[in-house]
Amino acid sequence: MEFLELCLLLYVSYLVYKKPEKEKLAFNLLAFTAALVAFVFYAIDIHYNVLPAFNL
Amino acid sequence: MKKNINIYVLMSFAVLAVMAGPVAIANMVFGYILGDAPCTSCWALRINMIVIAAGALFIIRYGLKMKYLALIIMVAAFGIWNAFWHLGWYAQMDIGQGQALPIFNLHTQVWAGIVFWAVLIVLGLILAFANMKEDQEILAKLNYRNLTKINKFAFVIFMIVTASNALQAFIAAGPPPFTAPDSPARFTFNPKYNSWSSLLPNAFSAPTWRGSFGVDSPDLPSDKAEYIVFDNNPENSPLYITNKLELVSEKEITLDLNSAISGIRFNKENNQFAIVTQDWGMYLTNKSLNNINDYLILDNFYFPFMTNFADVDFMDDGNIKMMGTNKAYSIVKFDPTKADEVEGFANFKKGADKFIAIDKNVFRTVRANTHYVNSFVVMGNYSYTISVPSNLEKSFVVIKQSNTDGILSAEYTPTISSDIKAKNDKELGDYYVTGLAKKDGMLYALSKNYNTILQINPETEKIVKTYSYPSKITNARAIDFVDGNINIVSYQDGKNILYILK
Repeated sequence: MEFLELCLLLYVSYLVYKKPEKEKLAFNLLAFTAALVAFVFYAIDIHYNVLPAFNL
Repeated sequence: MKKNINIYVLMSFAVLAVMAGPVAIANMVFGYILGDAPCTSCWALRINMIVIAAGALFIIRYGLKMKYLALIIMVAAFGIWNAFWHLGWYAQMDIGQGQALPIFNLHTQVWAGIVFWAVLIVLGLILAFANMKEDQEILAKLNYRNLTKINKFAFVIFMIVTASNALQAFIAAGPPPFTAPDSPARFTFNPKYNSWSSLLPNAFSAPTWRGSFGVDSPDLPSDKAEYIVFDNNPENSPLYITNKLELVSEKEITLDLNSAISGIRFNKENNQFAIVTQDWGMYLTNKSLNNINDYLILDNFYFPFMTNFADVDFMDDGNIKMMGTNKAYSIVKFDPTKADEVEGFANFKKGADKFIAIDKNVFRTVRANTHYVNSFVVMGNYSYTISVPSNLEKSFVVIKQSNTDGILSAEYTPTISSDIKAKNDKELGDYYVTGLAKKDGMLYALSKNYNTILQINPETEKIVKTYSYPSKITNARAIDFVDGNINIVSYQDGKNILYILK
């Protein structure tokens, strides 16, 4: 999934650089990638300990 | 103040700083040269840095918009929390320990937190000092800016570093739906040593807020723990009973206490009892337990925070030590001639004119660090306590604390003497120790569960005898020896009842 996230970010930068008129698509993809990173991190790690694993 | 510095130049340098700095170093130096492979959390940290840099590229191309700022701020905040979460696994380790390699003695996940924090600081500085008016007319007409050389350079570096990270991710983690491993092996381009797997199905298991730290409050004299059903039948004890105690007498303790009794200790040198209550009261009484000589109420809120009192004992120098269920302790001296009410105000809600605070501190354990205690006794240079099972895990760890420096000296789960048989379906962690006493160099652990007292030899770390006590005692909270007899205090039916057994 990390590979997918990085490919999406690469594509976003390409759109902004070469096809700036597609701003809406590029930003939506960026926001989606940020959400995907959060989801993958949640799925793999956080749901075991939503709060950090020490004496709070 | 005149703002001459172009925001797009500053944003380009910010992108270069993030991408050519931590992201490229982590990928190329740590990854390709040193063989460091990121775990899932490290990947999330690194990719979020790239997301922030991409947000800056949007500002460079399309001008400053609220949605770009919103995204950068939210991702930076998530990154700080991610780094803090990651730090949680290592923060309490010993010096030098941690995951992956340290840089200037700080481990990589700490640096990630510093980077996200710096992003917010730098963003604030740019917004405060940059010239925002540049290219406003062009943006109004064309909706996007033409890029300058420094802007283009930022884009190119972004793409090269992101592509290189994608390559590392493909080799180490694989294409979707595969994910980076939780504990990765050394990074290598050799496919022989790389295998791909997906941890995404974990998402379907139930989340927990605090994992192993999600421990409920322990059983207290007047607040029963909901996670355990107590059995007062010693025949169900995990260990076979070697000795049976008979009830000699019983009486209600009618002293005017602030709450239920959680610990009791007899001092034969002055014929006084020290009694502690669940709610931080410590009372000195006569031997007949019908008159309070003096008392204090401890201020439990301020450092260190002390959960309810677990037990009490007299130290060799005559001072009185009280232990909280969270292993915070307080040592006081009864001295009405020297006690200063003003000086003692910070420590005592009541009794500052009679008692002097000697020490108030916590001690940390390793095996029992996610378990409360409900007992305590002083024996020579050491204090002993025993962990109680929690809602998450059974536990029976004898904890030995030095009375010299207050630090942990030993922790062990005792072995069982060969002449005591254990029952296969139960373990020591099924006991629930609510009181400790000492006699002739032995520890006597009072278990509320299965109405059993375990005699432990602290020298051999073995349980050498087991005693049953009558089932009519349903909430045993304290134990001590008085005149050769075992005294147990139980809080039941809303009363503190003293049982004398032989």
